[in-house]
Amino acid sequence: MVVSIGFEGSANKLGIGIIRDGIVLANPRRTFITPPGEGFKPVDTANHHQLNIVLLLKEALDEAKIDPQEIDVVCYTKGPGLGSPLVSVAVFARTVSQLWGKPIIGVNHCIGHIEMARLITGAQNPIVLYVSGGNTQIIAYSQKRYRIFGETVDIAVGNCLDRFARLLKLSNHPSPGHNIEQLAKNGKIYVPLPYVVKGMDMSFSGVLTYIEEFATTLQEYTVEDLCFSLQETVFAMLVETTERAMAHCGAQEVLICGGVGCNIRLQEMMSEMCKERGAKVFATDERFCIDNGAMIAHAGAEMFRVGVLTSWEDTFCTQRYRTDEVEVKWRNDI
Amino acid sequence: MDISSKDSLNCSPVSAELHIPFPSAHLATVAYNSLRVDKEPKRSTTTKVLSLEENILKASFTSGDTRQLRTAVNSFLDLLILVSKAIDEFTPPDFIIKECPLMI
Repeated sequence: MVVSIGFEGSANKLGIGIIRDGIVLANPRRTFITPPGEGFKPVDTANHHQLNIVLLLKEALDEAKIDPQEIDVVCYTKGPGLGSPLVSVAVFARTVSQLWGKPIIGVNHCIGHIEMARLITGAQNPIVLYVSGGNTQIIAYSQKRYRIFGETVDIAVGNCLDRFARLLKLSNHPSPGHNIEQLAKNGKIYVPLPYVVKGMDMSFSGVLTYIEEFATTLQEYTVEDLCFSLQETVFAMLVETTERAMAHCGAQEVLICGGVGCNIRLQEMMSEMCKERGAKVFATDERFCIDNGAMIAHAGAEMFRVGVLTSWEDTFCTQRYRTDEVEVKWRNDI
Repeated sequence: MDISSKDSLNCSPVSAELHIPFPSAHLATVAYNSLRVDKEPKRSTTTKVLSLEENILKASFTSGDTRQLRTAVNSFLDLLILVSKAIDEFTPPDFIIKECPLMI
């Protein structure tokens, strides 16, 4: 029976999660939200995490009703993500790991998303579409690695959505993507936007540039129309590349994870494609789609279970950390 | 006119030394271990060296640029304050730091 605690802060969400044997005991989160038109900068985000992490930990321990001595392993996000926020959380995790006398494990953020989504949905061997503000990857598990089949060649789809929201000065509360999704529901006109799929990969920066350059001509369309058109375009790109990966692997399951995975329209479009192929779509709700501590706790617990620990010198953080760099020793399937 | 020769704030190296006492050598060691892992950002000309003397954590900064030095010292102090908050709130009673098992 393993009790693990996970600390996540690679972007503007600070999350602490406590898990016992695959059951989430607590998973509180605080989001650093900037005014409309502004994105979150690393230093301000690091500041936010430093200011909130002590209270958040108390909240997590209270909610889980456990004493720190019951914890078996302290897990934190090693990367990828923003430098100073990652380090702020890592320094804190290193400190409590020493104070409580527990081993520490550095977890890959992307793998945290994948493993949590697998746990919650029960998907066996899906093609994973991992889509967030910082990452856009299509992943398939093979021989102890999460292999990246396809990915964005420039910005993440969530980054495209976030910056689009900034251009239109939409509110960032609770998240820019959420507000785009709500507005899109009332969109009536589809505006053709650049659709860029290159084999297994995708490009999203062209859509942004197009909207920036043609802002004046696009003024005849409502915000709702633009949100609707953007979603239909970028989500179709994601569905196309996911389908291509499924065809390559003969996969019958798709697992959507990452913050953009909360989007119901994306889930709908993916379901339509999967229905045509006789496949199933799995997705989690915003407790686990959006960055959270429990996903780090869970992935860390899996690593701990098979004896993968992190030496002290290796508890550094890294802004670039490829999903396929990690040996997935805890999975026994091929 | 050579701009750099008019910048009197750029006679390098500039340096700063911090001495931070803790209530015990155990707690100073906790802070030292937490803070010594991360390297300075790649683009910075600042180097940071941490050391321990009983219950005093020492941090030595050297930089080619005063403004970078300020940033490095400020970031370090922010993280140090974070460590001390964690120590204040989460140190178990009768805390003694475990030596080798953690530092594999």
